[in-house]
Amino acid sequence: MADPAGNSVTSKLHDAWNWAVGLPGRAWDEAKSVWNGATQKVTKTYNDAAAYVGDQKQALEDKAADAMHPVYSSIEWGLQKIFGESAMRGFTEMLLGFFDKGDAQGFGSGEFSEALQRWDRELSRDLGKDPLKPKAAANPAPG
Amino acid sequence: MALQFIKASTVVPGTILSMMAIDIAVNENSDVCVLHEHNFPVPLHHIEYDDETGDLFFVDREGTVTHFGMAVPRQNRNRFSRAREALFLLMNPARRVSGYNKVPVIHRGGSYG
Repeated sequence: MADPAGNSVTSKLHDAWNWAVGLPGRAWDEAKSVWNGATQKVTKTYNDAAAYVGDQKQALEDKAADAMHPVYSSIEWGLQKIFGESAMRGFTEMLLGFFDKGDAQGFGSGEFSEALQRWDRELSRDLGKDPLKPKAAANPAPG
Repeated sequence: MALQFIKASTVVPGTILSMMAIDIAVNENSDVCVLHEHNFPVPLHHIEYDDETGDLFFVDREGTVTHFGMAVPRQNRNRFSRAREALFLLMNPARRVSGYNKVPVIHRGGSYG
């Protein structure tokens, strides 16, 4: 005889097992989907923030460089970046002092004679030539 | 007036001029300015100028004495004989100053007092 009751139970057990096995799989998939979505959002937010900060930092650096460049353009402003402003001022005063004392004479390999001549021209052009001084201070009004 | 410059006619091995591109300028106040291409292997301690011959020597902190490679030209010697200090400017390949140093000038055979 067939055992209809037994067959029926077995069938129901199989259904329940398949349901139980399938449930964690679906739940994991859903959880994974939520996790991935959240991770992507967090990553995107972080990257956007980092890019924003980087852009702002670069923009500020560019702005600072643009503002400083005219001040130091007549002499070698690269030195300021390396040694700082006080050293730059000291160097500038030394160089201005050098070309302030009459015509210079030079000798050697000749590699830097053009640079010397350029400095001689640019720094000896007039007496109010310190590029670090405001013009009003360099040329005070009479009286 | 443009800077008057005298270029070395020959480069003698073992001299400073054979090691790097280097120029020296002196003004009417006897201030000396030296533009050079590379750092010196050993930092300089002072430079020595022979008032009688016009020879110029670079002396490093280990005491090594190296001839500049050319004597100070005659028309610059009066100025050099009063020099007390030299401003050294290290130049980068773009011909911009990337460092500087001040070095005393010592005189050989000068008469003082």
